[in-house]
Amino acid sequence: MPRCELLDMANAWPRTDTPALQDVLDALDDPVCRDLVKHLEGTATASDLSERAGVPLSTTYRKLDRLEEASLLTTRTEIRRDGHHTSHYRVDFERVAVALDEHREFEVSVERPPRGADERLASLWSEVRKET
Amino acid sequence: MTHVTTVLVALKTITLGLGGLITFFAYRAYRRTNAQALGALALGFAIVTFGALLAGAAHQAFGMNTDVVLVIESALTTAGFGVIVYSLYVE
Repeated sequence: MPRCELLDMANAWPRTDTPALQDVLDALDDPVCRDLVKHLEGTATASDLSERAGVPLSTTYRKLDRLEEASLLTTRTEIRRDGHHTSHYRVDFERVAVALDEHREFEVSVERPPRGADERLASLWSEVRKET
Repeated sequence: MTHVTTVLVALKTITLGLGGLITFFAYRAYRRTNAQALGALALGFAIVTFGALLAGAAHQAFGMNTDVVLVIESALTTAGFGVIVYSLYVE
């Protein structure tokens, strides 16, 4: 994994963010979104994923946006010197729970996979840097 | 004050300033995000920085034995880094 990837973790934080119920339901209701998640093992770029899942690239981008909106995906952008940036996607949930809260309203919670200490350090530091 | 003491006081002052700055930014990030990991990170840096201050003060103001001062500072550095490592694993 290129070292520069670790430096740009801003999108992967904060993980305390709870997505909107409708966004999660929209993403999970979408068969193409589910298919993309199925093919997204580890990290992949949109074009890799498009090829693997047999989904046109423009559709892949649209569906990835939808999944990201629902916070079910994280993106990391690899910044290259030549200005050609590549986004890598990764599934960022293990379980999605929909429950009734005390006001009998629907609430959604997303369980995240544990991340490695190196990634946590990078994201902690990117939060601290935002304060400077 | 000997030359060594002067240099030490200057270095400790810089350590205090830089450590305080990191602690301050980490604490503000903690207040903004409410993430426990950032709170632990700020606390860890605070302990390490405070250790440097305390050791310097103990030596200069109270004339404590250099060995004792070294043990205090090392203990706080160890504790501070322990908390920083903990911040990487806390949810």
